[in-house]
Order: sequence, then C-alpha cells, then structure tokens
Amino acid sequence: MSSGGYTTSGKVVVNVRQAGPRAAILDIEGEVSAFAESALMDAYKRAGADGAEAVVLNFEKLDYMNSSGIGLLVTLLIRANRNGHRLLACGLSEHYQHIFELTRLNEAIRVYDGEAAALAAAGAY
Amino acid sequence: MNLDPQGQPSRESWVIGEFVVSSAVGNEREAAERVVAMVRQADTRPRSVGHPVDLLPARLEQLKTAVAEAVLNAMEHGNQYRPGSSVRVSVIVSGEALVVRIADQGVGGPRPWRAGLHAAGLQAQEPDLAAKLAGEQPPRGWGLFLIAQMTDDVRILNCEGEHIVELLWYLDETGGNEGP
Repeated sequence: MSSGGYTTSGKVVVNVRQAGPRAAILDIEGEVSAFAESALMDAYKRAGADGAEAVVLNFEKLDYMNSSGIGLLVTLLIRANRNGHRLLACGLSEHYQHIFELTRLNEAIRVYDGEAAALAAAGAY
Repeated sequence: MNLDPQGQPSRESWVIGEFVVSSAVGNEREAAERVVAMVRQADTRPRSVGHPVDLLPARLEQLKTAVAEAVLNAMEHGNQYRPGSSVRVSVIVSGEALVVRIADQGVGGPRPWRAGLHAAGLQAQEPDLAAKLAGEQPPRGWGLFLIAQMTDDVRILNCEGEHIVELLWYLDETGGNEGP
C-alpha cells in the first residue's frame, strides 16, 4: 500500500493511500466543515488520477463534522457518481454513524467497521 | 412556586453558565465545546446543591452537534457574519429541562427556520438526499434537520431585538436523559 501524499487546508489533513490497483483510502484527520472543501476534493481528484475506482473515506481521526461537512460529502458523492466511482467509509464513531443513518448517507456511502472490511468490499486486492 | 403538569412543585431555573462568541466561521465548534464542558461540570455538583444534570455521553455528543448547528445558524443567518456581531449562549436548567439558549442580533434576512421548521411540533423537514444527488437541491441544508434530530424540543423567540433559539433536553427525576 503506497502513500500518495496529503493535502491540508487549515483544520483538516487528508492523506491519500493507494490500496491495490483499483482502490484508494483517504485518511481524514481533523475537522470536516466548510474549511475542508479544497483538501477533500483535491485528495479525491488525486485518488482518481491514480486509477482508483473505489475510494474509502477513513474517518478514524475525525474530530468534528458539521452540516457544511455533510454538504461536502454530498458534493463528493455527486462527483464520484459522475465518474463511476464508489465511495465507502470506515472509522466513524457511533455518533457520526448515527448522523450517516439519519441523513441516509449510509445508503449511498456504505459504512464499515474497519479499513480491512471496507477494502474487501471495495475489491481492492 | 411553579408546578409541573402533575401538580408537583417543579424545579426552579438556574443558569449553569453564559458566554458570548463572535460571529466567525469555526467559532460554533468552540461554543459547543464550552457548553458541553459546562454541562459536564454541572454533572459533578452534589445532588443537594442546585440541580444535577446527568447526560449520557451519547446525548452529550448530540447536544454538541445541536448547539454547534444552532450557533452556526445564528452567525450565518442572524448576524450574517457581520464584523463585531456576536452570539450569546446561555445554559440553563429550567423546570424539567436542560435549555441551551442561543441569541443573535436578529437583523438577518429570511430565516431558514420558517421554511425548515413546520409550525406543528417544530418538525424539521427531512432533506432529500436523492434530490441533492440528482442536483435538484443544493448539497447543503442539513443544519436544521440535525438540530431537530438531536434535541427533545426547539423553541424560537424574538425579544428586544434578539432572535433566540432554545434547544431543550428533558430531564428525568435524576437529572438524566437517555434519549430516544
């Protein structure tokens, strides 16, 4: 698994890791709010440029996400759908899993307990 | 003395704490964390002193989200991020509820509250993810929905030039609230 580098914008750092020829992981550290737009979108773009068809959003180091952050995830989903990419998620706390369920984001971004399960579902290897 | 619906003496109100944050993006998180810290400190008060508040960790997380979203709404729509404007946050135990009161200067334009919260029971309209993914609605617009989902009740008041939103969590006899 190789690392594609990271992007940062103020309160968030997003690290891109390749996981096999067809999947990538975005390690999201910090705050997913309006500040996170460029970091998140740039990271997704890099993952796609490296050939990923499935992108796992790893929220293990997420500190905080607000409604603007949820809006960003929706924007990311729109782009992923347009590009034929799948988004998956792992590492969400119980609180944010609950928010994913309330917003029905979990129906569009499947949530897994850990990275291994998410990558298996992504068909990474 | 105030009586509760069962005719029993209800608790009087006491203010756990109050503070002001300036209207700047990102300050809503600080406000929410300060409220949680105040509520946690209230947990440790002896039951014979004042009124205990004993929220489960999961409920505290919901409180944090609801407060952050309400403060964000106040800064964005109420104060329009005007330099020098601020949002006042008060944390109160009032009767049978923990109340977080968020007040802005109220000069903002049309409030999303009016469109987003129906009059009966202040039920927030559920944002339509499918419509958003189809480009029929903007990706944003989740704040009011989250507030409604994370609280037991919401009240909206206008008073002396301030627009006030009260978020309520009802407390049981022990000061707890296990949530839905």
